[in-house]
This record gives sequence, structure tokens and C-alpha cells, in this order.
Amino acid sequence: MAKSLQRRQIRCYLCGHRFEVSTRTMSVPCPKCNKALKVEDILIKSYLPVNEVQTCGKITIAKNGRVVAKLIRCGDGIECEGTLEGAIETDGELMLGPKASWKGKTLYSKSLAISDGAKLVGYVKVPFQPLDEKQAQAELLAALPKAVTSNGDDDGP
Amino acid sequence: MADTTTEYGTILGADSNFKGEMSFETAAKILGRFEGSINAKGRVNVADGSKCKAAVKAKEVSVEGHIEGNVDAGDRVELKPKGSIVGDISAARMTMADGASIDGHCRIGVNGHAGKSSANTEVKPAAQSQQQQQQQVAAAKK
Repeated sequence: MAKSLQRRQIRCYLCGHRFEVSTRTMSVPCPKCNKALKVEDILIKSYLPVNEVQTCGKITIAKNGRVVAKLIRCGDGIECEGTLEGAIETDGELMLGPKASWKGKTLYSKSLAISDGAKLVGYVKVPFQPLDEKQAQAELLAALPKAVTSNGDDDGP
Repeated sequence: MADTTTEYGTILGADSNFKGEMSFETAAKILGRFEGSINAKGRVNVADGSKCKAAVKAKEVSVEGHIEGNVDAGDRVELKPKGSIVGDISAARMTMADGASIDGHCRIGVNGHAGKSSANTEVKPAAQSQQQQQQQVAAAKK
């Protein structure tokens, strides 16, 4: 039987590196930063108090689901019918159902769909362009203290 | 299609440039540039291509253009595909179309809209019952 060659592109949520994986992949180490990445979709049906929920896939929060986290980060968007608490960062769309609610510090999303009746409290930035690898590196270099000049002289007095 | 002139009592034309404070009893449509503050009892429509650098307070706010300032809607905020708001939003309900943009603090559907939330002071029933049980155990020991 021929093997399925379907592949999808994902973006490492830790370093921003983009690479391809099989559609069946559930977790993979990032070739750039070597950190383990979760790729599978997550379904939350009950109360989930955690520090971080991170995946390159999609997060679905069912009607009775409640996520309390410091950071919720995902690649393929979030579909919420329950309650979300914490900072959200997603490359996809955030969909809030009619009985859904979000409360958190920040919400960075590519797009946002709010149904009538949904609750939303916090800072929102939509659309949000995640930093690419090169941009992230450039920002990191810019944040570093200025390198000492080649002859080691300082401009100061 | 509804006639714009009958739907909106006040229309600020596309070539107009207004600075100051405006208040409306019914609905208003802004097609030009506005700077200042808007206070309306009805609906305010910021049309496509228009720019508002203003604090907008109304029952309903529909945005197809650009608003730079805080938006406070008693009923709903409607963001159309080309609409953008840079500022804080407070409303009972909000709908947002694909392509619209927001940059600011949102407070939607929380006890009306005017920041009277009791969510932060919520006491969990489970925690309460645990405290009561502990007190009962302590009293029994005595």
C-alpha cells in the first residue's frame, strides 16, 4: 500500500522557524531550536489549570471546557465554546461562540470572530503578524548591547 | 436598500473636515474626517474611507472606516471588513468581520458594558465549602 505523502507547513512557536511535517505528526523536534513541539490538535472538555497550552495545531474548547493558563499558544487557531483565561497568541483565527468568554492580559490573533453573547476582557491586537525567524533574530541582535569597536576604544570621555 | 438620508438624520459629508464636539439624538453617518468627541443616543456609522480621531459614545457603533480613540457602545459595536479601531472598546456585544482590525483594550459583554464587572471579586463555591469544613473540624476538635 502506498504511503500517504500529505504534508503541512508549521511554524515553531518557540523560535518562529517554518518547516514541513507529515499531516499525521503529533509531535516533532524543531530542526532549528531542537525543542520538542506539539503538533496535534487539542480538545478540552473540562477544567484545565496549567501554565502553558502550546501546539502547532488547533485548540478546541468545548461547552463545558475551561482553560486557565498563563499562555495559550497555537498555530491553527482556537475555537471556543467555553471559558478561556490567559494570554492568547495564535497564527490562526480565534472563534468565540455565543456562550464563550475570554479574560486575559493580551490576545494576539490573525483574525477574530465573536458571536453575539460572547464575553471578552483584555488587550486585543488583531490582526497580529508573528515574527519570522529573521525578524526575531534581528530583534534579538538589536536588543543586545552594542559591540565594542574593533580597536576597543570607547567614544565616551 | 434603505435610503441613507432617511436612515441617518445627520450625515457628515465625504469632503468635510470637522473638529470639535458633536452630539446626536438619532443616527449619524460620518463620511469625512472628524476630530474631537461624538456623543449619540442612537447609531453612529463611520463609513468606508472616513477617519475619526475621536472618543465615540453611542448606542450602536458601526465601523467601516478608521477610528482612533475610545469607543463606548451601550448596545453593540459592529466592525465591517475594512473597519479598524485603535483604542479601547467597551460594549455589550460586538461583531467583527474578517479583515477588520483592533488595537486596544476590549471589554465586551461584561455586566452591560461600563466596567462594572464582578468577575475579579468572584468567590468560588468550592473554596467556600472547604473553609467551612475546616472551621467545623477545628470546632469539633475543641
